Amino acid sequence: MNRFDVIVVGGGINSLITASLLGKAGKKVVVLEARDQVGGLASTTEFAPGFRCNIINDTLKWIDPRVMKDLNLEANGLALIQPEVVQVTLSENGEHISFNRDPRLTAASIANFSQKDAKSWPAFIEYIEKLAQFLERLYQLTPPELPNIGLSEILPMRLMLGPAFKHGTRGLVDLMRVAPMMMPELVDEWFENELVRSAISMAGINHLSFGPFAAGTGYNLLHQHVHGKGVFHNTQFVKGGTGELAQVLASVAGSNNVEIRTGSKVKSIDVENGRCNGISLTGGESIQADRIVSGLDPKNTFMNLVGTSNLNPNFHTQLNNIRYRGSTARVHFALNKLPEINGILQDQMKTVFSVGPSIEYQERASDSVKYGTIAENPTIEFTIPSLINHEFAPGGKHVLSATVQYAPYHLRDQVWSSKLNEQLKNNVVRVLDNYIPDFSSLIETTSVLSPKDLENEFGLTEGNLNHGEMTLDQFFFMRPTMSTAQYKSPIENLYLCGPGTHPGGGLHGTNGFNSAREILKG
Amino acid sequence: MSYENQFTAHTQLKLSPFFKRTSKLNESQEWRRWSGFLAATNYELHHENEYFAIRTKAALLDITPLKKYIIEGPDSQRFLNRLVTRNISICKVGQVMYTPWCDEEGKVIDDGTVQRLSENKFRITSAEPNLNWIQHNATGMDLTVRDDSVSTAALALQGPNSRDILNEVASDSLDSLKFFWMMDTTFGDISVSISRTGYTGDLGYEIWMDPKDAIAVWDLLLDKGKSFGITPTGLQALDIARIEAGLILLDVDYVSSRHALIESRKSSPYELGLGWAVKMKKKDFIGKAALEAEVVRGPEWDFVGIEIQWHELEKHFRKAGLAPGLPSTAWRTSTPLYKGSKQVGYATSGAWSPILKRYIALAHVKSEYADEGSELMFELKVEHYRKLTPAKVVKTPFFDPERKRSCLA
Repeated sequence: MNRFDVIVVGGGINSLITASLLGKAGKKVVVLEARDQVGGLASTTEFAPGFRCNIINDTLKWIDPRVMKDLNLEANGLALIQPEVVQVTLSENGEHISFNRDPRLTAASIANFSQKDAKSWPAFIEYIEKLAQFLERLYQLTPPELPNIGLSEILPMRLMLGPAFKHGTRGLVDLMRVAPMMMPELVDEWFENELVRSAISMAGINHLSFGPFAAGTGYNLLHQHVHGKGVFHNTQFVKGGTGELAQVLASVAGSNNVEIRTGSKVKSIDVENGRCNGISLTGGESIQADRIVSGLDPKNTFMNLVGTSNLNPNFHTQLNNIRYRGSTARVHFALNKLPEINGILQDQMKTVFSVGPSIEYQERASDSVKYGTIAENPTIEFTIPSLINHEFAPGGKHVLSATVQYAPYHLRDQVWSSKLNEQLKNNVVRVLDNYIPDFSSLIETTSVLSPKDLENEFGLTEGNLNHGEMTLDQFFFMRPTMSTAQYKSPIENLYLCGPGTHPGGGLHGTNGFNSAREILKG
Repeated sequence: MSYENQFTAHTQLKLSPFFKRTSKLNESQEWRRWSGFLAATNYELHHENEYFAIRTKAALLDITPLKKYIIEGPDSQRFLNRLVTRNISICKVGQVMYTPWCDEEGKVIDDGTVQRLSENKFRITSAEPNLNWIQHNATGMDLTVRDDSVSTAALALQGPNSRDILNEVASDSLDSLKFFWMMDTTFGDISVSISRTGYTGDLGYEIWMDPKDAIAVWDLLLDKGKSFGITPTGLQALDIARIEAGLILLDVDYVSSRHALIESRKSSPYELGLGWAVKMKKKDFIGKAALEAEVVRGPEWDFVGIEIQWHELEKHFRKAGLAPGLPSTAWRTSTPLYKGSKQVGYATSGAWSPILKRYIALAHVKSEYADEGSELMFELKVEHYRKLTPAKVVKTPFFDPERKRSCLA
């Protein structure tokens, strides 16, 4: 029967979480995923015969504890691997800093570069943790509808009192200071060594189209460290690959009677007189429901599926003004053997390596966005997922997956093509050659995903992995727009649950959790 | 009238394709800015002759400065239905509809006409630039939007003799062309479109042409129209005629919601007397929800015609030892209207109507005081002193000759 209480458009992490929670509450839910597997940005696939990769995310920075608990993810088979070394920052001369779960070990590693910085480290991570605690609470909230704020909006805000009492006004003031900051200003207050400074700065520019000198990178850094429990550059791998997260969520959804249909591409969300009650699939089928929830980004949801002719002119303008500008590319290498990394022992490689050895290097890489070119010397974060999940590569062989900035979606005087993908790959290989001796000779096959490829394959507008840039003007009650920040939309019965909503991108599931709560409210 | 004047002044304003002629005919050399064009205020030293041409002969006006947009494509009807308040699906090919359009709060942005040129092609005219608004709302629809403001030149031929002149010039008879319809025809070998529309409330036509034919059309009309009293006419005469016809003017009688600095400056169609042009049965259009709510609530304002009562007016002047002072041109200064000691409205434009011999004005009046026959007090200045004098709400158009709508065949 083609009649449901709720249709969830898209089968990403947040969609699956919303669907499960609604199913758990007794709703009859169907999830419609266009691709042949669920998971969206948490997908694992074979990119070359015998070689598997996590297409987009190799790691989870954090996952909403409410989701873990309410959906009982651990009991349902989600196995997170928490490496002791969470990140290694490489320098061009073969030295590196290890970021560890244990701050003393991190400080010891930093001490090789600066005693002073090593001393500052414990206070710094405590400072970041303090600020992240404010965001943790804020992220649990549904943003208020401004300017008509009433008691029902203010009451949930009392959640914020916890950290406010704990850290005092000073904490709140620090948050307001740090969030709009740029990376060099933040690190100036703490550290002198350039490698330390650049290692911190990498968190601020994660998946942004801006460089470290952009205001608001402070907020992006804090976003990476929510629920980080004081671990800087916190990193978790998923046993079996990131796609396992989606598989576990899908099975939880199944046990909550959610029907999941893959290969079901939604052509339109059908709206009449400002209200929607169903969707049409590209195959021609129509499905009716009381409510529609979209895990797609705002542009896809409203402009493409609802259709601009059903949008109010003001709302349409707001949607036009959401910045996407994906600038992150992914490159997967199938390697004929385990690479050697300068200065790194073989048993230290089950972590994330970051290449962006100075703030200036990072800023210069980001300049390419302004000029519409591919960064000659990009910043790179790479992992060797085949070390964590051995089934990712045939025996003795390995996979190296790189997250590359900056490769802007909007290029000047050219469009993305296989030739440019090749150029992007060459830039990455050339940079990595400085850190991995003879890297190029190890490569068997490469798979490049430009922002354009990400748009085509995953329906990400302009290839933005966060469904809209993580900047302060697209934060909280302004995410994705003032009129849609409460997970509902100006279209009656149409809700949002994707990363385009508060609190933004990442495989944490908070968006989906908050959205389900709002939908169940009314 | 001298035909030898040479216009030599420099201007940064745009010049209409008729300028070669109008600049030489304009004896007064009085010009106004209209949508970035130089437009004649009056051709003679006084507009009276031009005004009477509109009402008794035939007046020729250069209306090229009007903003014009061509909307073309399979979705053009659907788009216009969403843009404007009138029902475009019943607009037949060759028909023209006057309509306002609103923002999503139901406040009027602009008003103009929609011409259906073919099944999927429309021309929309407006007072102000609307390209951005049109394109914004047309996103995702299967149509193209083209600014036609410069690519089409236009003349208005208005007055009781206008049909006779066009019948002399055009290869097809205008006798059966109905009010608010249009036709394609030729003047010799020049293709033109003629719509039976205008801004005078009289028998009249608007002629749409390629700018390269502008001079030839102008010359032809002046030549063939001579014996019918054709008269190049400026905006001052037009202003009186449009007030007599009860037609509103953007920026004079209302402020576009796009430019209003404060909410109270905005008006809904109901508040501009355009409720008849809002078709609520239509599926959806921009501003519908807000207008529905306004209907339930009842509009706060009405837009009416008022007539300033002659005897009392005369008395005021007599007391000052003067003959009644009347405005020689149409005025556009907001003028308070009272009920007792309370201000209940304001007139936005007014004129002494030479043909009706009545002092008339268009006014915003609070709905409860806006019924026909309602007696208000109009603020008048007599020899530097403010006076209140009675004015009565009357039906518009003030002047509505049968010939405006009637057909010969």
